[in-house]
Parts: sequence; structure tokens; C-alpha cells
Amino acid sequence: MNKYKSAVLLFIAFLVLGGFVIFSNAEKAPAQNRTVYWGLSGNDVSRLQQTLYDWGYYPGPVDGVFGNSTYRSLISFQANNGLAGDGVAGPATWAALGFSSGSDPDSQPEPVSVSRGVSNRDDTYLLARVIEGEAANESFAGKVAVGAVILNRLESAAFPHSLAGIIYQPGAFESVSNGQYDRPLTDDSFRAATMAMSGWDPTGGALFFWNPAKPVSPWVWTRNVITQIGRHIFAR
Amino acid sequence: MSTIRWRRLLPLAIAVVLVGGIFLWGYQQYTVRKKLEVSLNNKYYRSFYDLLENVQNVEVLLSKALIAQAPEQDSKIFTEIWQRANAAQANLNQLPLTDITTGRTSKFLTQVGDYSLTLLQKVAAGQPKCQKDWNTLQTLYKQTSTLNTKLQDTERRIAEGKLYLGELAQQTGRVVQKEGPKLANGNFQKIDDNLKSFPTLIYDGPFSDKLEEKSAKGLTGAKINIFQAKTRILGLIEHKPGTKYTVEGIRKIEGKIPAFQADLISTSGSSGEKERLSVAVSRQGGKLLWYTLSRKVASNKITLTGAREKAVQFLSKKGYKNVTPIYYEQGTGMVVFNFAATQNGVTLYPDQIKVTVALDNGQILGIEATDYLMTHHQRILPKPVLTLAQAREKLSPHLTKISSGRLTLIPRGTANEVLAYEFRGELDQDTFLIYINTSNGKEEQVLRLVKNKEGILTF
Repeated sequence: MNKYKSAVLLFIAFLVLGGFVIFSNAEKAPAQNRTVYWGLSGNDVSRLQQTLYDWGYYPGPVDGVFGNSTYRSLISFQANNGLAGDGVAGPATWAALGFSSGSDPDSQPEPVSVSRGVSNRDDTYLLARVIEGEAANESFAGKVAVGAVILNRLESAAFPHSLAGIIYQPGAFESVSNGQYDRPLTDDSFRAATMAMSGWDPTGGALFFWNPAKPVSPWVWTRNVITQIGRHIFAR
Repeated sequence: MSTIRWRRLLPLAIAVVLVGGIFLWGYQQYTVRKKLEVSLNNKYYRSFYDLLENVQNVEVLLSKALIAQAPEQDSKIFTEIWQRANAAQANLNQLPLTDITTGRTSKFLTQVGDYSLTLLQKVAAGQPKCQKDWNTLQTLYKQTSTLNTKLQDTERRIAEGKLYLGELAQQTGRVVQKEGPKLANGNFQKIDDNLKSFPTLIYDGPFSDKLEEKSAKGLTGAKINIFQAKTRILGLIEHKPGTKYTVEGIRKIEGKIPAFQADLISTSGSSGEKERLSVAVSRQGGKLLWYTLSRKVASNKITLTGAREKAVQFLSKKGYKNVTPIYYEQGTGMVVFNFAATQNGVTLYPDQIKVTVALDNGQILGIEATDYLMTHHQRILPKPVLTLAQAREKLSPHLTKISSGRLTLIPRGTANEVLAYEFRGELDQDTFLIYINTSNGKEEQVLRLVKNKEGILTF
């Protein structure tokens, strides 16, 4: 009887442990593309060839063998994209080919660390995070609008003169104050940030936005209301 | 016997260990929290004392500016005011106060800095400060000295232990949502209220108070009503064959350009796939201001050249024929092209229009024409006094691979535009754009072009 009981317990323990092992493996599963170069073969070489073929650099065939022809087309791709033309597909080249080096190739935009030198990618990234925090459930226009408000503040004398200064101003954005903005970015937020940075402003110059369903200071209603997009009211 | 005693004592022992453990854990949490609080408060105090010092310096420097005569002195003083005022503004915005409490003070400090920069540029261009500038400086000086006094009062209260900056943070977090300006941090509120009477400051700088709301120069025609706007919007969007478009909601926008904005949903007849569009048209003339379309973009299939071709075609279909692509920026699965208007071959940089193209099938995901409609009008372009060859001689001798040069209209200051020759040149690996004024040969602007895989940007 006792033996039977302990056998069941042992079985359950294995089940739980096994499940854990499976889960932790599942997290590691989407492996990164390895660094490929002349002489290698495999699935990742096929992926490389397919992309280069799609984009018109590689004449074919997609056979998974890294030969002279693949080498030459990779170098011309690298030259056109500001990468070191070494014919080796490392993380930067994979990223340029549109393969994210993050864990989830679908939802993660390329990590900021791949950008080198002068770029405004850091600003776009910062903006995208606040958009994700403040307007994750809003329409695309609602997301661009939140981004536009932050950028409009840059042109206002009453706010800090840098993007980081505006975003991290104490108490300025609820999602920044409570850490909500610190979650995985979606493509939508990133696209919204890029468009706001390029000049899209659905609010026509708003400096404030708030959700009237939440408790807000009555002071905000003294501002000139411009419009409402989704759940947010925008004002100057 | 002993086993029975053990059985009784065991739960007690466990309880003691548990309580002791919880106590230890709690104490550790408390010390960690305390440490964090102290380090955060120290940051606030540092910002506050930096603010104090910077404002004091601005006050002294402004008084010096009132009596300094030599341009060398002036430029030295204005540079320092500009730096100190900007630093003070940054310090102020790091304090745990909201923009409700500090908005005016913040704006005042910005304008002091910005105005000094404008004077610095004037001095650098060989114009000494005039009586009007002197009067403005005197007003700024008086206002700064009041600000300084009030800040010193606050400091005294802090030093006497009557005010604790850490409390502000807690109040700001808790009360701001409900109480707004009644925040107990009345000290800062009073300082801010003091600047209510400050006159509007108008000069040629980015943070100057605007004379009046500029009207959109590119808009003509009669005002439309909400029903006309609806029909207009449905006519403006690209209709894909076999797709139904429905307007979900339409509303007014009281922005820079008064407009109607509509949310649309398109449903594909074959696949039932839905896309969400947001479109805005101006109330005057019913012009397309902007639209955005959101959908998942599949992997890149078309080239940048292909995408640009799509953008050019789209613009020409919408009636924007005299435009030229100037630069682009790539995002995830899409690319944004910037176009500028042209007039008789002259690129008009102030009149910009942007188009977003999806990189999977070349669909137009967005257009932004607000800036274009704000500024676009037929310009009266002056005849260049300098020839292209004469302008080229003004360029730096360090520049190599200089392009042939072309005529462009570029913005200057907040309201002016100048006709300039644009040259592209290189120094080592860096590419620059240099603009030479066509009437007096002055170097109006130097821009650096940054090419990376996200696109071409100017800095």
C-alpha cells in the first residue's frame, strides 16, 4: 500500500519535473541563425540564399550550400547596406536581412544594440516603449497620436528639451512611473513611433492627453481640447 | 516520553524559526527600501541645489549683460546665460513636481536661454544689441531676481527642516491625479504663479511666443461640413477591388489645421480580412491631411526603389506632381519617404510631404501632408546674385568629391526662408550638405548626412 503510494508520488514528481524541463526547453527553442560563411551548408544557408534571391542579389539556386555565387551576392548585399563586406553572415547581417536575433522572430523588432554610430533608432525605441505603455490597446492612429504628443513637447518651452527628459520627467507618464512601459514591444508600437518621428501628428499639435475614464486632475480640463482618439482626449 | 515532548516542541520550534525568518526578511526589506529612498532623495536635492546655483548665475549674468559694451563680452555673457538657463530648466524638470506646478517657470527659463542664444547669434553676425534688446534683458533680469529670491526662500525652509523634498515625490505620485494645482508643494506653485504676469516674449528663436496662429498657406476653397467630409474621405482613399469600406466614426479636430477625422474599416470580399484606416481632411477645402493604415506586414519583398516608385505614383495620382524625394527612413516592414515640393527646378525644403510604403506588397500605409499644406504656396524666388561657381569657392577646402550644386529654398529661423545653393561633399567617410546663400555668399547651414540601414538622415 505504502509502496504503491510512493510510486504514485514519484510518478507525479517526474511528471512535474518533466513538464518543467519541456517548458524550459520550449523557451530556448527558437534558435538564432548561426554565423555562416563560405563552405558551410544547412538550413540557415538556405534561408540566407532565399532572402538574397527574393531581394534580387542572388541568382539561385537555393541549395543550402554556401558557394562562390552566394559569397559574391552576400558581399554586394553588405556593401549596399552599410555593413562590412566580408562575405560572412554574422548577427548584424542577419538583422539587416530581416532576421531578428531576439527570441521571438515575429513580435520583436531588432534590438537597439545592432545600430552603430549616429542614428535616431534609440529615440524611436524609447518613444515606442512609452507608446506601448500608454496606448497598447489603442488604434494605430491612437498610438501615433501619443507619440506625437511627446514629440510636440520637444517644441514647447514648458517641457524638457530632450526626449529622455520628457519621458522620464517625474510623474509625466503613468506607465513610466509605475514601470508598465517596460514590457515587450509590438511591431505596431514601433511602426507608430517611426511614423510619429517622421512627422505624423493626428492630434494637430496636442501637448496633453488623458483618459477621462480614469481619475484626472480637474486642471487638465482647462486646456483647449483638440479631439478624442479612442479612449484618449488630446489637448493643447 | 522524550518523543512526546519533541512532538509538542516541534511546532513551536518551527513557529519560532518562521517568525524569526519573517522578521529578518522584513528588516532587510526595510533597509533596502530606506537606502533606495535616500539615494533618490539625494538626487532630488542635487537637482534642487543645482537649480539654485544656475538661477543665481543667470541673475548675475543678466545684470552684467545690461552694462557690457564690447561684443566679446556680450558673446561670452550670452553663451553662459544660454547654458546656465538650459541647465536650470533641466534641473527643475528633474524635481518630483508636475508640469502643472512648474510649467511657467520651465517656459521662462527656456525663453531666457533661447533669447540669449538669439542675441549671441546677432552679436556673432556683427550686430550689437539695440535698445529694445536692452529693455527685454532688463525685464528678464528683474523676473529672474524674483525667481531667485523665491527659490532662496524655499531653500531656507528646506534648511530649517520645514520642507522635505522626498515628501513632494510622494505627494506628486498620490495627489496629482485628483488635486492638481492644489498640491501641497505650494512653494513651487507660488513661484510659478509669480510668472503669470510675465509679458509674451517675441524674437526669432524656436521657443519664442508666436505672434499669432499661422494660417495654412496651402489651403484654398470653401469650408465643408461633416457629411461632405465623409463622402470626400471615401473618395480619397485607395479602393482595392472587391473590398468594402465603412466609416465607423467621424469627428472634428481643432488642431493646427481644423479638420475632420474618420475611422474606417475595410473588409475584403474574398478573404474577409479587415484593415483599419484613420483619415483626416481639412475643413477648409476638404484636402487630405494625413492617413494611417495598420496591418501586419509580411517579410520584405520589394526593393527600396520599387517602394519609392509606388510612393511617387501615389502622390502624382493625388495631385502632387511637382515633388522630389529627399530622404527616407526604414522601420519594421515599412519605409517612410520624404518628398519636397519643387518650383522651376528649385527644391522647396519647407514644403515636405511624407509617404509610408509597406515593404511586402508596396501598399501605401500612410501619408502626411499637414506640413506641406501649412507652408506650400507659389514663392517669388529672387534671382541669384552669385553664380554657382562663385558659391563653390566659399566651400571649405577640406571638402572633397563636391557635387555640382543645385538651387534650394531652405528655412531660416522660425519665419524666414532663403534661396541657397546646395552642395554635397565629403570629408573622409562623412557626407555633408552645405548651403550657400545666393545673394550674399554666406554659409547658411551645414548638415551631416547619415546613411545606415535605417535610411538616410540629416543631422
